[in-house]
Amino acid sequence: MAVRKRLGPTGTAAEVARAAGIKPDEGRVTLSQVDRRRTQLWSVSLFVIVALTVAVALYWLAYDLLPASLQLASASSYVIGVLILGLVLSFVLYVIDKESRLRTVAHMLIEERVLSSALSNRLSEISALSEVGKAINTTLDLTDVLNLILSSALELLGGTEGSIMLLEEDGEHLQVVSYHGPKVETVMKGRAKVGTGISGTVAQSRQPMLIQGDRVQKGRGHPERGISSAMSVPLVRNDELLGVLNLNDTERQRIFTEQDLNALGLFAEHAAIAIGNASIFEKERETVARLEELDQLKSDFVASVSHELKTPLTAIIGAAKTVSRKGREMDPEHHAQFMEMIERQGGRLLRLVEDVLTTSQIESGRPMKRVLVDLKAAANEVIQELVQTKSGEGRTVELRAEPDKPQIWGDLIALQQVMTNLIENSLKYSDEPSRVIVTVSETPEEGLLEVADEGVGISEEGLQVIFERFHQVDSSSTRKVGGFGLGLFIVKQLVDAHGGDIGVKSAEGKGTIFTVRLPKRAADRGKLNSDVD
Amino acid sequence: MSTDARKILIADDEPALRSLLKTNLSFEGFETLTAANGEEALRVIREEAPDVVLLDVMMPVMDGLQVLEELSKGENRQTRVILVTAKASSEAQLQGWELGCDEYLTKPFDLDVMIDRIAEVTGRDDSQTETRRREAIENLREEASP
Repeated sequence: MAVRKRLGPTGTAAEVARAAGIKPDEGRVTLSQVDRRRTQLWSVSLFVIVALTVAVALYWLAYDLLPASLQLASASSYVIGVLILGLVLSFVLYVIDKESRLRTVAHMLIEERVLSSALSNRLSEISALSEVGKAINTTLDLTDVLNLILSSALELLGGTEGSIMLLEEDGEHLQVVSYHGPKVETVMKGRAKVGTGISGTVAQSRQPMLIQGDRVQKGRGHPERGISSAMSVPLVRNDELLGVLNLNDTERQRIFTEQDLNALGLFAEHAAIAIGNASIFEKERETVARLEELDQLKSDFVASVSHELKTPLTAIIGAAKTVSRKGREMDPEHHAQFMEMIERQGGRLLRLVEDVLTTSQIESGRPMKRVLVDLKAAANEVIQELVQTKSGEGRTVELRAEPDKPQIWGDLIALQQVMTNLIENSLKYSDEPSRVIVTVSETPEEGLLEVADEGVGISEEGLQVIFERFHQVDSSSTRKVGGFGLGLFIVKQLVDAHGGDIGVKSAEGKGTIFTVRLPKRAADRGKLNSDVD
Repeated sequence: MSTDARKILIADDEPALRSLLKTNLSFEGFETLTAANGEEALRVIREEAPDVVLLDVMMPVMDGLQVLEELSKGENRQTRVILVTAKASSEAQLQGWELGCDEYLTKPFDLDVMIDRIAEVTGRDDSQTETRRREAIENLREEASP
């Protein structure tokens, strides 16, 4: 539009050209046509000037020989002179007019060419961006998408190398994640500090930066890397800085312009979207992996439950069968032995079932009942119960209280469950004979429960997982002890519900010490479940 | 085989089950030995050469299948092996038979069936043992393939 306005009402290049005496070829005028026409015009003008000069010279030389009627000062010679002068004048005017029209046409053609080249640039920009957009929607691998963005930007905008850097978790450094160019090995290891260098400055200001030759010479950029022109734009999504997209030219072939910088900004927007999508996808994948792991744990749990239940069931069914088969001929001693076996294995079965129930209760959240708990009395009850069923095999449990009567506010049943599970666990993993020492104490802020054993201890790897649901440190078929792997999970959940914490120290072969710290007043969480997901 | 009382080794890490089986087998007139883990079981089998071992699979130190594998390595195994385990899946049973067990009982077991099986395995000669093992494996494979 701007071009047409400047030319006024003269119309399109073709119309102007027609007026200038050029026949448009299929409606189009080319610059060479205009050039040819101008050459013709100038040749004709030159010819006319030369012809006139020759004519004047001849006239001058042959003046004396001419008849009087053709000599100056005669009436007819005036007429001829005026005529010739008029011809010459109109020829000059004609030439000037043609020339000006031809110049206009040439100008218009050049402007048209510039416009159409800008248009085709814009088209390749759009098609490159649409390629990138398609890739974002179809490719799930972030590295692939970023590589494509980078190569498209380089292809479209020129430059010899480009890189995408992402902000590290510390928020202080940028790490190169994608690079195209000749120095892959050095650059891919590259890292920049936010606030320094081109990328660092862009990351800090979140403003695009364009660096042309003179600024490079003034010390901007990396003269040692021979960068002659560079652009850098921030990658931002939801007001959050993700990284930086850089293009450099090291061959002095290309000086980036503002337009290039704007185009690079469009690529940066796509890159930011891709990074955002990838992080959503990554989170989804993590969730799925976590669910799969939980699912696996649950299947293992079911297998383990069925095995664990079968052992006491086998003993109960077997003992009952023995009594019924041999009832009459059986001596009282054996009879009593089998009856006791049924009772004890029944109790074991019950505890296994209760563990499962407690876990599901914790998961659904039982309301917490807070009372003043005498830790020593509570522990004593638990120990008495356990001693009857467990420690007849050379294992003893010792209770120490400092001061004599440590007290805290908490849920009595939950706290006794914590004690039971910890002491039972210690007994389970102790060889006979050995002892378990239970210590209860208090400070002005906390109540403490410590359960120390001389058992097999827990390995480093074991310590990582002992409080997780369904985990038993040794789940191999040669494991030493049974159980569902719920005991310590339950302990952890109950302690958490009280706002306390549990720690463990262990040395393999030497023993394990569990330390539970409970606030004097249990945190009012209302329910006996914490962050069970 | 001698007319002496059959010698049975009970290998199980669960004391209640050891005592249950020991008492019952004594009632039936068998001589009983016990082992609380796989390693112990292997030692007793080598030293005492019992006629039958009732072998649990999930045991500490060395599991029942490892014991069976060790036994099957030696030539002319005299001791018959009855696996007694909570592992009831066809895959687990197939694995047991392929490692060379003579019978496979799942927990909870029926004492009458167990006593019958003990009589059966000790009554078989080598070719009968082979036949029984082959048939069991074929049946389990059929079960496994749809």
